[in-house]
Amino acid sequence: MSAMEDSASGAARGFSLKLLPPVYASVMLGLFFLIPLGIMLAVSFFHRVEGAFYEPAFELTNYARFLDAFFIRILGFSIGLSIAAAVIAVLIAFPFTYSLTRARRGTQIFALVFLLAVLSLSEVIIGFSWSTLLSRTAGVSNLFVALGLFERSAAYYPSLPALLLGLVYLSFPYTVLVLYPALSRLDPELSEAARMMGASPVRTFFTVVVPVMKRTIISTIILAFVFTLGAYILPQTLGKPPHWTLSVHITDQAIFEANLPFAAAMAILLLLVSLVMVAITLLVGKEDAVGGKA
Amino acid sequence: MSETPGGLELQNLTMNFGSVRAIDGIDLTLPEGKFVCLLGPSGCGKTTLLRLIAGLQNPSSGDIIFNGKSMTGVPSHKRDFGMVFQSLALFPHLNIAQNIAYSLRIRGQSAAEMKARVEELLEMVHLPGVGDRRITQLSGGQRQRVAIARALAIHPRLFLLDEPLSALDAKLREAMQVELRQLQRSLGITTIVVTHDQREAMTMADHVVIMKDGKVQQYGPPLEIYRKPATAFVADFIGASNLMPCAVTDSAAVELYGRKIVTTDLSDTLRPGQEAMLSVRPEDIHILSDVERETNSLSATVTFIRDLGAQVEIMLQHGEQHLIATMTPKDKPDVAVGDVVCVEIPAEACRVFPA
Repeated sequence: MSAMEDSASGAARGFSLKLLPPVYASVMLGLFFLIPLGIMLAVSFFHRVEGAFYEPAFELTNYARFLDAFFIRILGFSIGLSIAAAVIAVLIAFPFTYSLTRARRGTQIFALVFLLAVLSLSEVIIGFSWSTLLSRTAGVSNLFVALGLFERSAAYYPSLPALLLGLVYLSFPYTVLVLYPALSRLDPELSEAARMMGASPVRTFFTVVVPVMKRTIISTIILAFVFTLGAYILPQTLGKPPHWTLSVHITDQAIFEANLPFAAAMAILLLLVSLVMVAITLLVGKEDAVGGKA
Repeated sequence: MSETPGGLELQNLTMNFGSVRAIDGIDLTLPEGKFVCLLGPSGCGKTTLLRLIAGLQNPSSGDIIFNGKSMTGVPSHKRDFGMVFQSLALFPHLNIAQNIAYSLRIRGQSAAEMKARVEELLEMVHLPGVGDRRITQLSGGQRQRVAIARALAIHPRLFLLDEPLSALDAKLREAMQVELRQLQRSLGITTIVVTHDQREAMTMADHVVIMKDGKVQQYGPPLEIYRKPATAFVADFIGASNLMPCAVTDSAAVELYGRKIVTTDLSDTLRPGQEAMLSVRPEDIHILSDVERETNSLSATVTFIRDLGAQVEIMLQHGEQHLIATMTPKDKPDVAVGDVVCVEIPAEACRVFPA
């Protein structure tokens, strides 16, 4: 890192030092984002060779193959699932983070360190932990039986609720860490002013805190949506085959079917669809702010 | 939502933050319908005291009695007090009218009632017709007025303001002080304002509470506090004072740097021989360039003359003791920097405090 900076500043001698940050940023962006994306885009148009790998070409067969009820349904399901997981995660995380920012410093640090620890868990570990917890033999249902709530233990996975639970758990710490800085900067006098004007704590939360933080909430939902869209292990461990998302199918095509061009085409389409969704959400949020309706 | 404002009584009020005692056993009765300023240096506990009255914080011990009723256990949203915050705390997601109507909406008023009241309030703060504008479209002074209108929307029983004018520039602040005072007088509402600006307190208040280290130093009408400060701290904080160490000689005089100073203010608690602090207002000091007096005078060297046009300040030094004398230009003595002059300290201008 320092060697690179040295050579960069050596080459930039004579240039204004002000140019260094944007140049550095563009080089890194190109190296780690644009070039891989370009390679993937190129591969998506390549020709697949059965039994071998692929050869350079320009054909739309990979995209054409996607325009099929089966894959369109998967795309729709993946997006719906990620939206649901993102919304639920933010619905839980927002009040949690708001209370956290008003707690004592020590409590805040403890909670944040704990959440960072959860964030460091891989999808594989989260998937297998939840599958154990939701299993018939060792899961929480045994606890319910012991408490006399149920007659006999049951398996709660694989199922859609189990998958949703896993995705919410995966994105929850991430969501809290995104919300935390914005909510800590929220002027406490805004809530106090509402209290002085007769609003109960609950009413203050819904008529002041939530509307003031609306933009933050929308952008956090977008981030959580994109984050959960990439999950490809949880659908396989906690869901049934119909619950396999596009990310699972991309992995399947790329690794097990060795059809990299088709996997690349699906990835590009997924990227485009999520970009369109993000753009729509941002536009709606903006219009709302300009319109000034409360 | 009583229409009659009431008096406020603080009983042995104490507030601890960990090991820090922010409010230290305050007993105080604030009369009904008056304008009271809580005045003191930063960290004296004045804002904490206001927050305790507002119910935004709960006292560690003691009680707050309002209109004969204990406020202990009454949450801030049930006290029907109006408050203007230092940051103003106007809601950025609502327009001006919606901000002002917030408390009315909470109380379930109809749209027509709210509209009429908002218009009335905007008229009152001299901002008619701005109801549908955004907060960001207003200047600092206009936001200030909106915050005041919003706090008064429900006809609060008590009006609290936390350093309300600190964000405004000096000229606007002076104008708002007068306006706020006139508004309070016309509404007759019991009002408590936190400020660190003694000029602001002198302009607005019927009564001033001088605070230091969580304790009340003095409470009374501003002019009375100015003329008869209870402690050396108050004498220095309210209007500048020349504070000089002295020793009590008898029931009517002190000794100051070897000179006898006759005073009319010696209290019975001061015994002859006791160390004390002599305080004289800068405007009470007379500079005599030629005469030498037996008593109530001190020789000093002129170190600096600050001529501000409307007022002249002459800085003097006697040994290690610095003194300031202020006067109008027509009373300015004919002295120059470096002159040794005779400083007269009139007997009736002296205040003596225990050291």
